[in-house]
Amino acid sequence: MSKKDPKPTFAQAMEELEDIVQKMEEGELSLEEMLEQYAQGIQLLKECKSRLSAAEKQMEKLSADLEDQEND
Amino acid sequence: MTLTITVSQLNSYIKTLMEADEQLYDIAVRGEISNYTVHSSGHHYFTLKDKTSSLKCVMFRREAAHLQFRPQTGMSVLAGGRITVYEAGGQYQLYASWLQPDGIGAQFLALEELKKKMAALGYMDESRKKPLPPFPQCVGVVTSPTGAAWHDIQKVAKSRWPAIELILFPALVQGDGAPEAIAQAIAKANASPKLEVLIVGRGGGSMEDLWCFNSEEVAMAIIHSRLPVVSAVGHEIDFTLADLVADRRAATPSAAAEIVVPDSRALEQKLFHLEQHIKTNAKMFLDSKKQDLRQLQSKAVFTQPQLFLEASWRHLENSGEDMERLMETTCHNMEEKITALAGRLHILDPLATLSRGYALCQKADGTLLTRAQDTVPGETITARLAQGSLHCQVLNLKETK
Repeated sequence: MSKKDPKPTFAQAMEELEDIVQKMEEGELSLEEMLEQYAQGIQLLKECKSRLSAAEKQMEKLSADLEDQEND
Repeated sequence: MTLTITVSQLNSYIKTLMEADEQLYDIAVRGEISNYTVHSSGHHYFTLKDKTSSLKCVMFRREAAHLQFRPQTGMSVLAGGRITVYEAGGQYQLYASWLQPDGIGAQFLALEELKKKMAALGYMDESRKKPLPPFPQCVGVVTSPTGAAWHDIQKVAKSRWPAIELILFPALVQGDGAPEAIAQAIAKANASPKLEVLIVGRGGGSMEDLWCFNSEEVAMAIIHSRLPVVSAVGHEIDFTLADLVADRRAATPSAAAEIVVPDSRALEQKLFHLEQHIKTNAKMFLDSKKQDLRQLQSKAVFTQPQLFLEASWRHLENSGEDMERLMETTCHNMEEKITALAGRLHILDPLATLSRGYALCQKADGTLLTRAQDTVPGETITARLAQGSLHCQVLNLKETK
């Protein structure tokens, strides 16, 4: 597969996702390549969404911690 | 009989009288300066006074340039020059050609010398001045334990940072013994390891009262202090020597406390704003990323992926159609070829020839007759027609050459 390193950063994943979409839209791919890219794209989409969601949750938790401290 | 003259005549007479007096031609007058002003012309105008009287004076630019000190209202001086009469106004005044500090005035001169000396040694350089600690926990104060300064400093400091620790190093702040007392207090403060900064000063007062802060002892104690020193000598005029060599100068003891002690309430506000800022920025960042993802997700490649197979399908269909067409064309060509061959074959069919009226003649032995001379009259031959055959006898021949 076309992953650059074992655990890409969020920014890297987004960039790869955009590349895939562009390649698919250009329509110069073979059928096999098309399938491959599509699978990869779905994977990246899932990964990015889950990371973003985790970041949101962590932020909420940190804010809550701060509020708790202020109420002490 | 009383003499009657005009004002001008009288003033002129008095002028002559006064300016003829040798003693008034070169005289020195002792008094206190008041209303000292320097005109834009460069001439100095002032009044000399004592307990009951005053005298108007003027020192012209040329002579004023030679002044070794800065004369100020309140100074005791000796002014030397001559008395003149301003005829038109009927006033006499002193044209001062020299001016000299008297009593405390002499001290002023000495102070100027001291300031110059210290400046030359670099004791007033900006680069020498130590920075103040931004969040001190323990602040030392050198001042009178009974004066307003100590009270004001405590009030301001505690209101800004309630937990601040203030340590007083009491000292005389005027009169005899004050310079030594202040210098010792500064040294004592420096010996205390937990102090981080020192305020040295006192409340307002007269020039004489504040004079101890112009002493070399106090100045040197400040210069050699390892603690940063904020001078807080409450007055409005000139800076004292202590102000000039200190690391920071405050106009009043309260101002010193404001400089040294951070304002906890203001900091709390700042922290609050920073918190809001961080939260807002983080949220904006996350929202923006979410938006980016949503945009990508809504692209056709993900919502209608089958569209991207369309090309392949069409390709296939096109190939299929091409193949069909090729097959058709090929078949059609074959058909035509077959038809043409069939036609040619048909022409060659002997039966077809016969049906056009031709007969096939054969001798008795079956040999085909193609020439007349191959037979003789009287011979029996068979003539095959398209349908049926004729048993014939040759009557006579006709040769064609």
